[in-house]
Amino acid sequence: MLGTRGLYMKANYQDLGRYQDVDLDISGDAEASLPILIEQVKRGIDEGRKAAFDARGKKLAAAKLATVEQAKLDATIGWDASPITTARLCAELYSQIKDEDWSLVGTSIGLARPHRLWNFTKPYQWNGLAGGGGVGYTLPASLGAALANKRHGRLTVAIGGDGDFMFVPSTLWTAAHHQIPMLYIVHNNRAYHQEYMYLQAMAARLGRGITNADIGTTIKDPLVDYATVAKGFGVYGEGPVSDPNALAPALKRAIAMVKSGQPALLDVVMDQR
Amino acid sequence: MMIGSVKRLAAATAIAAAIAIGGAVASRAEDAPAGDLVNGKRLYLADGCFECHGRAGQGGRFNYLTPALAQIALPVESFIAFLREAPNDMPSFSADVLSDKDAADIHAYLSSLPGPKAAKDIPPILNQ
Repeated sequence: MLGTRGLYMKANYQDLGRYQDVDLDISGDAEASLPILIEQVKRGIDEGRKAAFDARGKKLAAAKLATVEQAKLDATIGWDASPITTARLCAELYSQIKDEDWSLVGTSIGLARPHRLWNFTKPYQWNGLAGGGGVGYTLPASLGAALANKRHGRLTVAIGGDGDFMFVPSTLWTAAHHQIPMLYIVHNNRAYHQEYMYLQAMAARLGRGITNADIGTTIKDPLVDYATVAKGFGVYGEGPVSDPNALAPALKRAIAMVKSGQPALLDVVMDQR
Repeated sequence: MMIGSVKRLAAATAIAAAIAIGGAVASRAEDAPAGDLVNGKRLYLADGCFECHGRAGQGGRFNYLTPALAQIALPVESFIAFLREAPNDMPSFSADVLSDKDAADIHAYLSSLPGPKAAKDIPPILNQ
């Protein structure tokens, strides 16, 4: 098998054989298969190539460290701002979970901060996004992943958009009913924000109404109280948190609830991205 | 603003590259143009700049990372040229929807926003 020019492995059978020009398509679980495959590949490396790989690895590691340092510096901009920056939320959350066996199972569309700031070393620490960018995916998909994590005792966290949350909020009842521990943070930017951005871009391109992109894309008047919604489904809910200095204590309380085996929702009023 | 002889598309491309490699930038306060900060802030919010670049100018993401604009490094003429012929998904703002004067006010506001702090003073950042 290792003599093949290209190997493509993916759990989603619908992607099998599509688009990739490879010698061998395998439908399989990368998490289960990769450790064996990696060991096979290591055994096939001669000394000359090993030295080249080591040198390349050192360069990549240095570049990664520089990227993380830049991300940390970027994260300080607007640190004390309200609405809370997404960078602060991600930094505060990671600071409290990094020593746990954590698993990030969902993020709001376009939220890039965790992958810039956090150290992902295990396959289950990130399970991807909706394939088609579908709105409404994050809450139910996160709960499915939380169910899978439950028997391993992992600390499951997700950060989902408020617009996304509006589609299947009854997922919270399922979480309460089956006692599935998960910290669900509502990235509350009070909008279907991806739509807002596209509308604004198109309005600017066509030279019209660039100040009207909030029509039909924002969630205000009235504002939604997501913590109360959660409580209505029997889930611990707290928020809206808009004071950045109140964020860390609120995260601590919610994480304690999750570690006790229960789902928890934290509504954080955050900047858009 | 006088940008008459600027080859806008070429300028926009060069500026995009400058932004891409910008990262943390030194303060350009000494070069900040005279502008109306209050009007600049109003427009930055009303015209939706903050939707991708953040209320604090901290940057964010649309279909790719969107750069931080606090303590903007671009000179005002280049900033205006960039707005007129923005690349990728960044909206282009014609003079019909955003005058040179208003764009300069936004630039002045961005120049006034605080840049990065020392990460050593922020425990959660150190703990990453």
